[in-house]
Amino acid sequence: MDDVKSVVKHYLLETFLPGEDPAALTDTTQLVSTGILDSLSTMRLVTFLEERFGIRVAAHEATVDYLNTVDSIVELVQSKR
Amino acid sequence: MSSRQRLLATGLLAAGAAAVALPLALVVRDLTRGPDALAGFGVYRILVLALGGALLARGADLGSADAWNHVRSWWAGSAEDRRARIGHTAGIVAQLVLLLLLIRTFEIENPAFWKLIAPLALGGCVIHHLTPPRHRLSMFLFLSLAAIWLVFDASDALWLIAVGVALVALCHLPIPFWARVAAVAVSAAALAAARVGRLPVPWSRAIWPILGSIFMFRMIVYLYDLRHEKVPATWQQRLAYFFLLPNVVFPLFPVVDYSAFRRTYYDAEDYRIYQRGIEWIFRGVLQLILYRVVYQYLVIPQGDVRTGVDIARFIVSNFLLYVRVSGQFHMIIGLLHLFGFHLPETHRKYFLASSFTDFWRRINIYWKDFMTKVIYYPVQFRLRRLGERPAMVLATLAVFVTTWALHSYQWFWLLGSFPVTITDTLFWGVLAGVLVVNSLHEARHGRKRTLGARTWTPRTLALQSLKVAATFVAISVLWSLWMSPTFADWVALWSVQRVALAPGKDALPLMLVGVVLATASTVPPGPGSARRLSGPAREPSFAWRVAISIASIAGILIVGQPSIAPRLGSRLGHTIASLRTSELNKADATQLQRGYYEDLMGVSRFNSQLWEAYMQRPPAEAWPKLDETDAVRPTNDFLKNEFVPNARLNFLGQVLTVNRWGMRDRDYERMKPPGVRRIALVGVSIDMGWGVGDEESYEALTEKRLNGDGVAGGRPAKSPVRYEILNFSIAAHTVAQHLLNLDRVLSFAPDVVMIPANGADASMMIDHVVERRAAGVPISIDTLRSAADAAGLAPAPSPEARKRLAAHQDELLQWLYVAIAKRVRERGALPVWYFVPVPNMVVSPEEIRKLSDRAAQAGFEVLDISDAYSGHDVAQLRLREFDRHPNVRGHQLLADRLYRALRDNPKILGAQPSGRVTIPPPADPSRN
Repeated sequence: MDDVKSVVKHYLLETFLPGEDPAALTDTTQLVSTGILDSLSTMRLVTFLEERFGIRVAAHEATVDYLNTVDSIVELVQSKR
Repeated sequence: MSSRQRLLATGLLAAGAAAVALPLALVVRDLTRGPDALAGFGVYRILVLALGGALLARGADLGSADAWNHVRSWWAGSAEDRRARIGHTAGIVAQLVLLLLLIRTFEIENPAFWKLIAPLALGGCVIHHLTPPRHRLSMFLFLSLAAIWLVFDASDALWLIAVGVALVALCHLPIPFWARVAAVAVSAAALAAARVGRLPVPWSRAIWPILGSIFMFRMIVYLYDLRHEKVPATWQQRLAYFFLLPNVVFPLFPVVDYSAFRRTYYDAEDYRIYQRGIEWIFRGVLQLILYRVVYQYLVIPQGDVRTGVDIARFIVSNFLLYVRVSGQFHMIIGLLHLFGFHLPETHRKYFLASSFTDFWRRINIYWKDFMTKVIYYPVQFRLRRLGERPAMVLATLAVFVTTWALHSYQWFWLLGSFPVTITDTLFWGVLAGVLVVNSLHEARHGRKRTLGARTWTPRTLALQSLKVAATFVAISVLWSLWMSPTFADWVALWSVQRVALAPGKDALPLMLVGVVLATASTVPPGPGSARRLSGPAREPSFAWRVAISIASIAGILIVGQPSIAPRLGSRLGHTIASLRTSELNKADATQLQRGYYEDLMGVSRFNSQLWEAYMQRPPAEAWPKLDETDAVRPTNDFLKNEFVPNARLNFLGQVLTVNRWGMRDRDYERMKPPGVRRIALVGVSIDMGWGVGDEESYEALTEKRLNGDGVAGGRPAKSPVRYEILNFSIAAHTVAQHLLNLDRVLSFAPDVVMIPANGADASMMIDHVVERRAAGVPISIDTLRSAADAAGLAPAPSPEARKRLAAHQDELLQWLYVAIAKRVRERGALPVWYFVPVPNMVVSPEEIRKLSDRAAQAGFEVLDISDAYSGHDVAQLRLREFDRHPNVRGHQLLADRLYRALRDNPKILGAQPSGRVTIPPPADPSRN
């Protein structure tokens, strides 16, 4: 799980938040409801998760229910592996 | 169970039973008095019943060990904790009381809200909080259904609930999912057929907008989420999602997401959720008051746009009208917070968007999320094999095509028609195109994301302000296209007669808006632009938030008090008074008065209050226009129509009698009898007595009173004169037609000719000229014909030609007034002008003074009866919500005021009969 979490955090920081303090991105930081993930970045994240972890994410899972925090993203990935 | 536990539980059960029994006993008592007992089951009885239910549930709950231990642990806790908890509760309750007073003082939105639903919701949320947590959703559902009961009559309320429950039940039939969707679709089609009258239904038209509003979008979200539901919801959750308490009075309702509705329920400390709800409700009230400022004082009709400043004012003010939707949504979501639904915000500083994509993300966020969920992602996931950018472009276009179609679909359920206009299509098309370009730019170049508070330098701040200003202007222009009835109207908007380089005083409101926006744009943008990773920003303490909130609500409440406002100066006092009620502005009131309902869809959209009045209008056959009845016949000339002599019919539920001379009046001799002072009244629908009985018009009442016929106050002392008021008024006539009628009027040898005005006289006269030319009828008044020719007014009038003509409407009206006054005086009579106030139509004292001055300059004796309704609730004086003509009480007030004005003016009533005897020319009474 920690491996997934670190990969997800690293991707988020590198792709969407370059130059930001990694410590500021916590497991419960809200990503969708604060606008960090918009529709475009959500699709990029989904593509990354699918390619990196070999899973398939459905359209109804690309929402705040599943992707709003690092924790919930990890939970989604774990549920599909 | 301990004795203390038993005692407390028994006490609560007894109190609850008593509270439940009380309203039910009152119903039983009322039933013995008449069949309408249930109609008296109002908001306060419902609240007592709810309180009884809450106490019963608490009492029963206390029987369990868990609940009792919870009470004991709370009591055994630190005194500081108890004080804090009591302080939180007291603070919340105090704000709720103040909010209720504020909503009632400013009569926020509609009477059903401020009289019924606001007390139900703000009182009900306290009872809801007293209810054990596991029963709170049931309590919310009970209050929501009670709200439907309060707003509709019993039959409609029960049908609305029954149809709603049936639709939800269809989603849970034990059949395949696709079959359930098909069943819902078939039901929706049947309801649509009923909506347009193709299928008979046992309920009234009144429930359609609310039924539509509840299900038209939320059913789509519900079915979408139901298909992927992991944890089944309870039946209370499912029904509560549809029957959301405020929906019954707010047909324009945010598309609340079903999963968010479930996910956010009490997901934080209760008092923090309540406090946020209170702050949003207050923010909503402020926006709704601001909307009234814009609507009453800033908006100008498109036909009145003549200068560059007018254009700026028109496009900015029409965009600003959107604060009403934003205000309503804040109010709605704030109210839901009071019941534990910790839903996200619906709008986020949308006037400060710095790009089109930023605008789309900030305005109506629930709609954006709805579209993203049910259209954007499904389309993009399906098409992503095409590549990221093509899929994104196609998904974005799908969102906008759907949004465009669903807006018309929304209006279908609210109003019963499916409008498809060029301007609508262009608006969504342009917005889609710009957003696609914007999104492609972001996809290629990315977006700057920052952590925590964004650091601003003078350069970045200036750049941001420029972006905000440019976006605001661009959106305003695009918005003006959307608001225009036709594309030609929008093009005509840009043809100005003169360019005002130096802004006049009319530009002051615009400049004020500019200053506010410029100031606001320097505020660091919200989380939509500046990314925050470090959790919620530091926020003030709860106590501080409560104190600020109480001070703010109390401040607005005090300023809004009828006893305080006048002390702030007459102008400010009048302005504040006008903001206390929800009234139509002059243009909309005129349009409603004239009954141009068929043009409504093109001009109002959701930014106008007019469609709400229209929504309540009965079928055309039940509420016809006057010229659709047998009382009026066309003249096929510039006069357009006249009353049919001796007609008698039922019009709008009242007897309408036309005398042998074609007046809606009692009979008179053509030759003025000796000892009579004769007054001719030449007016429009109000003066004719629209919607009231023959003896109930202010003209008939004034005549009776002048003659002391059984009316207190009676005939002026020592006056041997008898008075006759001959009513030549006819609905929808204008001053131009009054001039044409003048010879007929003067043939009755009046001593006085009264020409009332209502503030819309100039624009109505222009409308008449345009309409007559379009009908191919010669314009028989030379000056008007020349003006129409000079403006290029063709039988198929272009918006530009109408605008050119309207640019001179005040001069033309003045010309008509001068012509009327001159001819009346030439015949030895006295021309009199007065302003007749229309209930719920705001005309400022300055404007009335300006109109009075012009009438005086034209040669009229001027009376002032504009304060006829002072001290009365004007909402109680109108005929119907959808018909703002005065009712019987309104006419009584007008008569009383006109009588006093006449009594105080010896020139009008005269000390003696005129002594003039005029022999009229021979004429066929049936044509006169």
